Amino acid sequence: MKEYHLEKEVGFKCDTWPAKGVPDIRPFPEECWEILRTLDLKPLRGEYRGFNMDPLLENVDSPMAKGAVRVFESEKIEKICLWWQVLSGRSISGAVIGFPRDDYDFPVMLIDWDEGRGPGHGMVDHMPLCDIVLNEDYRIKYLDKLDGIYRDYYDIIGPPSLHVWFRTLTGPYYSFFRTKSGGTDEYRQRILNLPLKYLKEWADTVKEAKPIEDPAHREYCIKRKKVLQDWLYVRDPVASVMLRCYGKELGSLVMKGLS
Amino acid sequence: MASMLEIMQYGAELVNKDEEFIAQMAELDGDSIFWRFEDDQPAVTTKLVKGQNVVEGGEDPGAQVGMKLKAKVLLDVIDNSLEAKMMYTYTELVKGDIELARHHVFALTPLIFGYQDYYESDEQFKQMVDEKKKQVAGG
Repeated sequence: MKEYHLEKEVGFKCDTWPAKGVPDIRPFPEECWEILRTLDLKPLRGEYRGFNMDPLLENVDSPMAKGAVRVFESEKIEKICLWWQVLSGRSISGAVIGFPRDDYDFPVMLIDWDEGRGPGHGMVDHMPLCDIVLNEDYRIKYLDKLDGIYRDYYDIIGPPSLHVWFRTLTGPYYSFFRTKSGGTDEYRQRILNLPLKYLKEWADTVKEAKPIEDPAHREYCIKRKKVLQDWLYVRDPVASVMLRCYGKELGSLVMKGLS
Repeated sequence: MASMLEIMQYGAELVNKDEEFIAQMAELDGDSIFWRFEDDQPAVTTKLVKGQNVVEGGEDPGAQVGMKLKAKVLLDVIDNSLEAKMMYTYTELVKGDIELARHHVFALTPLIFGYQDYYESDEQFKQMVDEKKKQVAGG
């Protein structure tokens, strides 16, 4: 059996909180962490954009939801969040959302995964920090590495999100998938490998990334990153769930961790 | 043939007696949502009253949120053929805005998951749901 480091290094594991009826809970956060831990991450502590992030070092708990919202940083990563939550003891949500520091322009990493006892869904993307028509080199440098994976999974991709504001943030390799629409365990296992493949590519991108040299491009990317973060904070429908689950103070902090 | 009201009431009574869901709903109070069914089924209102689900016939004018959807959509969620979080895809808000809806519909989480539990474990509830689904699907 493969050795995972999530519990020892981060403090939870995929079945820390039971999820009734969810078949064969895959060690998805463990698999994500095996990739993330190669990025020399350290916990993001103290002040971050007006919030004290320290409470997120502990697991979060309410009558309706239990989970972990762990945030990290590194020399190149402003913040990356690994989220795992069980809602009502029956539905699992997981996410990985990572942003570059201001000196870097590599794409934002996004994984979102929801699964219960029946059908589930997920999405994955490398979200560009600039217009990739005017900056085609950016697409070639950072995004086209996903082309082979996208083609391999082309049969299961779609439909896209119903949220138009979200679709405007996504890149050309954005993938939305349903975890049981194919109906077989083999399909489910295959589909859950897709976000891991995107995450591995993103980790390689981070390792190779060099600081931005053009000051104007740097400012442009920072501006776009801030809008992206603000929209995720304010508009993500999960915000109302977090506020209801954990109350205004902790719920707002959870959303800051996720955006 | 049970009505949607009878199905939702029967399931709610099971959920209201379930210790696990009772704990989850302990702090919920005052959420009221009406369900306007498109497929010729009478409307139903669901409320959270001091940690218990109350299911009534008709559209409560005091509801914060009103949803229009096919009864089949809710039945699909109950029998696990549609992901609960995807129900909004097939739902039109007819009262309240999206923020109000997210806030108040969240209070229905234990009820919806409870319906799914009891669909699997309570033979009578399963039969009511299956028969109704055949009827509204024209099967």
